[in-house]
Amino acid sequence: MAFSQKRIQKEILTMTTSPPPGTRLVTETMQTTKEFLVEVHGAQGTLFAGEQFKLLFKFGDRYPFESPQVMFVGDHIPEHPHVYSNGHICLSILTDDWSPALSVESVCLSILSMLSSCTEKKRPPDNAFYIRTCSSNPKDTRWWYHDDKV
Amino acid sequence: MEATQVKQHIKLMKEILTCPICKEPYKTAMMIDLCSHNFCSLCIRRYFNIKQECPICGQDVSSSNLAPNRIVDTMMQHHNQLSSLLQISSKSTGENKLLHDEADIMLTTDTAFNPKPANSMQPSVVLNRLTETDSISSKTKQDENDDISLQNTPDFSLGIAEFCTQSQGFSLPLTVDDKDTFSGSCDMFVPYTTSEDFTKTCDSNHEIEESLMLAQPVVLVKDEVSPVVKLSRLPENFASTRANENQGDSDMESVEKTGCPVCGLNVETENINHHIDHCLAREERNSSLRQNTPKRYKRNNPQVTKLAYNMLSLRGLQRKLREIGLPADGDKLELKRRHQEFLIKYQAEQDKLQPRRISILIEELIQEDERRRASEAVTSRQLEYPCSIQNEADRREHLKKHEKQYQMLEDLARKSFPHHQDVNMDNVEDSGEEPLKELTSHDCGEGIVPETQLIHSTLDVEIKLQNLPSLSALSPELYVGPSPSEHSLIDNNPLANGNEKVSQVNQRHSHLEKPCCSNDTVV
Repeated sequence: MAFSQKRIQKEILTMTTSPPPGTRLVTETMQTTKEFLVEVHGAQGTLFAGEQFKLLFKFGDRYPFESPQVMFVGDHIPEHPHVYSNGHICLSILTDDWSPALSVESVCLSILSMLSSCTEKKRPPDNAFYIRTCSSNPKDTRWWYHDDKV
Repeated sequence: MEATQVKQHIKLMKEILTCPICKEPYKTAMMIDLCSHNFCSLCIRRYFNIKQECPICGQDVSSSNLAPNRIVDTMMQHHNQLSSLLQISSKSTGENKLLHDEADIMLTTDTAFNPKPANSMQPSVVLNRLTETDSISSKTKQDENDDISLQNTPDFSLGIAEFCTQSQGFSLPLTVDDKDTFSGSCDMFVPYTTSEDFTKTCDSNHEIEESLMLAQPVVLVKDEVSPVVKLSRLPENFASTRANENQGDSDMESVEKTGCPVCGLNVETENINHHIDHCLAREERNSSLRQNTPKRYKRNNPQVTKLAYNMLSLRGLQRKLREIGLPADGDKLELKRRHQEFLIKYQAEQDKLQPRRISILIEELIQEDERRRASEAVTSRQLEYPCSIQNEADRREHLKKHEKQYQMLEDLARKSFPHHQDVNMDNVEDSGEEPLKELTSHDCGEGIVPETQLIHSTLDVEIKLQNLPSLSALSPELYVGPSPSEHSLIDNNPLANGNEKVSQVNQRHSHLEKPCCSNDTVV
C-alpha cells in the first residue's frame, strides 16, 4: 500500500514538474492519488494534430508490480484502429508487457506515439461487438496483440 | 556557472542512482548478471515473485542471477555526501568557502549519514581516502576499512553502551564479525572490541550481558558461530582474558590458568575446553576464508527457503511459520502471503552488508501486517460508500432512460386502483370479512398468496368486463391472462392496494429495484 502510494506520488510530481511533451496532468479535478486524468494533445503533423484527449489512469494497490488501468474518457475519443469507441486501448504494455520499470510518463509517451503513427482514422473492426460485450475494466479483456508496427 | 553545472551533474547522478521500480535511491543495489541492470534488493525480489524477468529488458532471469552491486551502494553514499555538501555550501556564502570547509563538512555530513558515534568518524574518513589514493579494489576493502574504523575508535565501547540501550543498535557489533575480512583477522579483532572500556562496561552493566544473550538468535542466521556471539556466552571470562593479556596479572591472580595450545593465551582452567573449541573453530574459519567462494551463499539458513505452498497442508504451513517465529493465524492464502513476504524481506536483508537480526525482521513484518489490516479495514469501509453512489448514479440513469415505461406502468396501476377499490367495496358489501382478509394478506406480503390470487382472478374478470379498453390494449396480459408470475407481480406491487402514499413509496422502491435487474441483463 504505502509502497504504491509513494511511487504514485513521485510520478505525479514528475508529471507536474516535467511532463513529457504533449501531455498535461489534470490537477484541477484530482481527488485521490489512486486515479487521475492526463490530457493528451495530438502531435503536430499527424492525423490527430490539434485534437485533445483525456486519459484516465487508475492504480491498484499492487502498483507498480501490476499495470495501471488506462483508458480514454470524455466525449472525444480518438478514432484509431487500436482504440475502441468506449475508450479502451489495445496496447500491450498496459497488460502483458507491463513492467514495473514503466511509468505514467512512459505510458503517456507510448500512447502518444501510437496516435502519431496512425495512418488512417478508423475504429477497430470488432468495435461494435466489443463495446457491447466488454467489461468496464479494460484489464479484464484478454487482448490479442497482432500489430507490431505501432 | 560552475555551481549550476555541478548541480546538474549531481542531479544526473541522482537520476542514475534511482531504482527503476521504486523510483527512489538504491537500497542495497542488486545487479542481474545477465543484463547488468540494477534494482533495489527488495524491489526486484518482490517482482520476481510475480514474474521472473528483468523489468527493463525482459530477459528471463531468476533470483539466482542476482548479485549485490556494492559499488552502487558506495556511490550512493558518496553522492549523498556530495549533495548535502552542496546544499550546505549553497546556504553559506559561496563556492570559495566550499573548498575551505570541505573537510569539516565532510565529517559532519558523514556523521549525519551514518548512525555511528561521532568520534568514530575520523578514522573511517581517513581510511576511505587512503583506499582511494591507493586505488585498491573498492568493494571489499572499503567494507573492511569501514569495519576497522568501527573497531579502531577509542570510544567504541561507549558506543556499544549506547547501542545496548536501543534494541536495534546492537546488531551492529554482532554483524561486524560477519565480514569475510574480519573472520580472518580474528586475533586482531578481539583486542579492539574487548578493550578496557568494554570490560568495564561489561562488569558494571549487566544489561549489556543480557542484551548480548538476547542477541543470540543471530546464530540462526549463520551456520558458523561468530566470535562476538561466543563472547556473549562468557563475556566476563573472555574479557578477563583480554584484560589479563593487556594489563598483566593485575587482579585475577587467584584464578588458575592454563595456556591455550592453539593461540597461546592464558585461560582459566575451567574454561579451557570451551576456549580451545573456539580457537579451533576460528582456525577452520581462517582456512575457509582462503576459498574464493562468497560467504553469503553459504550462510543461508536452511529453515528459510522457498516452499511449495501447493504441496503443503495448512497445518504444515503453520508449522513452517512457527519454526521461523512468525504468527501462524489466518487462512492458507494469508499464511502463504506472509511467508512469501518474510522470505523476500529475509533475502533482501541478507543482501545487505550488515544484515539485521531475524527477530527484528519478524517484528517489522508483524507491524506491517497490522498496518495493512487496519488500512484494508478502512478502505473496505470507504469502498462501500462510492459503490452505493455508483449504483445510485446508475439507477438514476436507468430511470431517465426508461421513464416512459415506468410512467406508463404507474398510470396503469393508478387507473386500475379505483376499480379495485370499488370491487373491494362491493366485496365488503357482499361478504363482510373478505376485504379485511385481503388487506391483511397485502400487509404481510407473500404469506397468503392463493387467497389473493383468487380474489384477483375474480377482479380481473370484473375489470375486463367493466370497460377498460385502453388499458387492456396497452398491456393486455396484465389483466387478461393472469399467469401466476404476473399475479405475484400484481400482488407484490401494492399499488393495487389503493393507498396513494403507499403507492408512491413503493414506486420509489420499485425504481430502486428494477434498474438492478436490468443492469444484470445488460451485463
